[in-house]
Amino acid sequence: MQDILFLLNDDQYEDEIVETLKQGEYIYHRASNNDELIKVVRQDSIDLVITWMMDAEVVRNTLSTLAQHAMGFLPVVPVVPNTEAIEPFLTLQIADIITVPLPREEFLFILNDLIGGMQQSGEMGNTRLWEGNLEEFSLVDLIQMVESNHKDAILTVNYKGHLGQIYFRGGKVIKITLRNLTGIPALLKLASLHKAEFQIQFTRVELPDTIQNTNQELLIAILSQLSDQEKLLQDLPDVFEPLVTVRIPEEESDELKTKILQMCQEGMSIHELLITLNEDNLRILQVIRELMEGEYLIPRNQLKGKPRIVQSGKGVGGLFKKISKILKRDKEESEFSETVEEQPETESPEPQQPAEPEIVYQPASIPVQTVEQIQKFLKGL
Amino acid sequence: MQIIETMVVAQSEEKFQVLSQPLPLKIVPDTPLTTYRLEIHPEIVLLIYLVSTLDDYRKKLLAHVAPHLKSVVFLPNRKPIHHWSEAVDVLSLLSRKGENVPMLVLAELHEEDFASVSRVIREKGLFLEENARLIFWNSGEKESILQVWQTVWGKMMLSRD
Amino acid sequence: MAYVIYLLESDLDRAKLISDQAPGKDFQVEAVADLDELYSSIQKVMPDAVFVGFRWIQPRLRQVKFSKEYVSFVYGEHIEMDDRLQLYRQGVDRVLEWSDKCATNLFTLAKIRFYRDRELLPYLQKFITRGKLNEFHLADILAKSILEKKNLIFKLLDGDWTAKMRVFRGEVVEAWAPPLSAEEAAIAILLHRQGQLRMQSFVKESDINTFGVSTLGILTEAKFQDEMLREFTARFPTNNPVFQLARGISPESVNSDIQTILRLVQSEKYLSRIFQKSPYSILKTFRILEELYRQGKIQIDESFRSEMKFTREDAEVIRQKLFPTGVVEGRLIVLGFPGSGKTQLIKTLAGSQKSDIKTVQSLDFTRLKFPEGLRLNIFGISVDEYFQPIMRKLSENMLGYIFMVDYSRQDNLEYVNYLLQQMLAKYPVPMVVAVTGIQGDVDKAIQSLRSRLNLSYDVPVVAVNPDDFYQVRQIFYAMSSRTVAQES
Repeated sequence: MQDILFLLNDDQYEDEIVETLKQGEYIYHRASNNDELIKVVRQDSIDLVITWMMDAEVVRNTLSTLAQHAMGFLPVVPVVPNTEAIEPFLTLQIADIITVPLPREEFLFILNDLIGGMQQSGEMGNTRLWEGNLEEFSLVDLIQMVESNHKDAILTVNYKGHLGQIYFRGGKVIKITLRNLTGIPALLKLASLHKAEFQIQFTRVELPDTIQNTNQELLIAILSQLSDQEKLLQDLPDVFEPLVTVRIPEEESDELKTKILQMCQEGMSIHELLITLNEDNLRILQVIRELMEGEYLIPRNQLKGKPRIVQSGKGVGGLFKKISKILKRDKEESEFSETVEEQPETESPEPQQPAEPEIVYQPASIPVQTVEQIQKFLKGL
Repeated sequence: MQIIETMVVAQSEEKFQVLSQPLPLKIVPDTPLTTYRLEIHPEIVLLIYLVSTLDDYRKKLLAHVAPHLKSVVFLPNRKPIHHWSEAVDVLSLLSRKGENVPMLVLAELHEEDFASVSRVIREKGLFLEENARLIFWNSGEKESILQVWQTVWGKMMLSRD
Repeated sequence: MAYVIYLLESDLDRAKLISDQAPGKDFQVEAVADLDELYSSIQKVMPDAVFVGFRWIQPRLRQVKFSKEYVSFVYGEHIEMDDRLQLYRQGVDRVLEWSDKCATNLFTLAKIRFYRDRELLPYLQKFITRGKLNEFHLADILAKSILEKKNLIFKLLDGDWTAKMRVFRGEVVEAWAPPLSAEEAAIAILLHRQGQLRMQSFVKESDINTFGVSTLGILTEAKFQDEMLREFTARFPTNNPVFQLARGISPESVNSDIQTILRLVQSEKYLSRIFQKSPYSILKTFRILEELYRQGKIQIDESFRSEMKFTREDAEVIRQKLFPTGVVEGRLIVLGFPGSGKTQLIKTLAGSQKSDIKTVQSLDFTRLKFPEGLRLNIFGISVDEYFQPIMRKLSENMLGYIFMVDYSRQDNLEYVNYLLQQMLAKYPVPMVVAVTGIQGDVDKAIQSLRSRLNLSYDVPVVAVNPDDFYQVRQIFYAMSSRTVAQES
């Protein structure tokens, strides 16, 4: 059941494509433009995107659109009208290129080979491995899944190079590491990740058990922390929205505040701050809240123009450095001020949330023929 | 293939054993809700979820199952019902999740009392509301028990008396 | 490091034309004169790609084989359709029509292929959650999705069998396992135990219809059918028996449903393949097969029947059930009262591998060997006054145990109950209660015993004839685990 999405804006080929895919037992999807393409890939599990007779620029835009919507992992294959047309595609991150016209059987052979190759590249030979992303499975899910296997395993979580590992023996967690953090502090950090790559490798683990708690206790600790975090996050922007430092207090004794403000100068999301900093997440969120209330930090999407970082009072030297950095980023930037102009508050309209789709249940009645068969059966008892 | 789901809310499991005695049910082991299975033929399978105690986990499962149920049977013990909290919980859940699910409330009668009920009422029960009926049964009479199941699975008339 | 390309082109001009198109230092092209030289070069140094002129292999077209360890392109003028398809069947990645641009395109296509295979696809795979079905059960994942109201799409791949299922807020809303769909497909998917599972979440923007049955109902029915199939195949040497039509039976002489199944028995033979190809649900297909087998119209294909021994599938199940990762040797304890069938069970197990049985002070011992160097040391202990200290000693390195109960001995059930509860509390390892001596309705007897011994449903209880290897083998399938957490 491989799903192939065709980016196709000419109906004349559609019938032939559909017939061909039917023969290969592929499921056909169509999009006429990139907006439709994104809609389709969000709603289904597409295995391959084929652009039909589009030029290289269009394909470039499609790849870029997919990447912008976090769908850059989908393989894209252009179909082009002749071999002369291949060269412009060479610099694009495409999975293959097919020239037509081709007999149907040959087209299917190439598709089968392409899709077969993708399946094979996902297998790791004899290594017993599960891989994926925390977007689908939370850390709680993964710990429970390994526990139910009662095997030794190493669960590795990787978010932008921050590598955490949880070791299991016979399904029980025996060690947790994240950089120089260990044990429950490391676990709670990892549990706050909303997305990250994970890998579970079933392999013998011969480390000593350094975790006094049962898995149950660890999971309760995670859930409790997540619940407290949720409460603090309610008043904060989306965890993936970069926060930007706009002011720096004159004197700051709180080391954590200083760290956060420094890290946010270029913009950093709450998600990244939580995983990067070693401090307790609840403390970090509390500090972020304070900094936002004091208008030292704001979400990037609320910025008008360029960020102007101002240090009130002394320390102009540092200010000059920061401002020149900003100036270098954008040559159009022509003015700066030692004081921040108060950004006029404008009401940004709340984005319209689409209505949640409904689940439509079957009617609560048994079909007449079924009733008759059941009655016949019961009468025979 | 059709899989038809029914729920029996029984005040005691023993009562359900009596009610289900004529049916060739097979229990499906290792299920989160006690489940009995009756295969009419390979294309029709009936699943009966037996509920006699409820906890939070089971309530969540019931919420999931409720919109798919084809009928719910309330099976009290013969003695007067006091504080049958499971029935209240299920009713409240059905009012939110499965408002069109047909409901049967069973009232068990002694043999003499049962014989004194008119044949029409024995067969069709009494109207409680749209989608709900009160059905009398006698545990000593196989025919009465089978009548209940015939009503559960399809013979239930939804017209008013 | 440059990519190594072998070029099979005996026309020197053309060979030079192609070689000259190699972009910069990225490619190192080595010309070979003929097919034999090509094979010999490949044996010495594996290339990254081979470019082959069709006319130089045409006379031996049917014998040529291309490996997937390198990319292979064949080019030529007016290659016939049949030959093109034959080349693809033999492993060629692309067949190109020779033209002015062909030489350049060979390298362009090669570059795209290298990028795809070495960089793009490994990168793409990171975004899809995937793994082997025999490591994580889909039923468990589906059960979790009910309460967590997840939106997930599952795809299963097992050789030429593919299937897909969609779950929306914990409700199974779509399922295909061609030729099946809907509930039947969902159950077929849940019963499938091999292959790769891929899953990802999705966003739905329009209303969606559910099946007429809940996810819990589907899981329940799948569980039932799984057990049903296991019981049926217990009588055969393998869980995937091979069937044939009995002498004199012809599909033409019967009605359409049965005819379809008989035809499938003829063409597919293996039980799993019959299920995969059947247009009917697994339950309907099974009921027809079961009846045909009972009537003697189909039978086991004796040419496939092996001796009474553990198959590779059995060994894999035993490995998964009993052996923690990295452990290759351990103990299986068989305990029971005298007369419970313990000694006979060990004899049957030993007989499957013609292993010796040693008896030392009422302790029976034999050893079973499995692939990958796994060794299972089986000890039979009689439940008597010396049982407890022996059990304590043998429990080191214990991978699991079988508790044998003689159903016909109802007088000692109270003590059995006491002992079992102790064992369950003390030894959280895979175990099973194996019951002998049942006459009559087996299901009822098991139910009754379970009730008398106060055993919850997570403790497996199976009936067994200890003389029958196939039934004894099934004990391993029935074993389950109990964790420390369950005890507390």
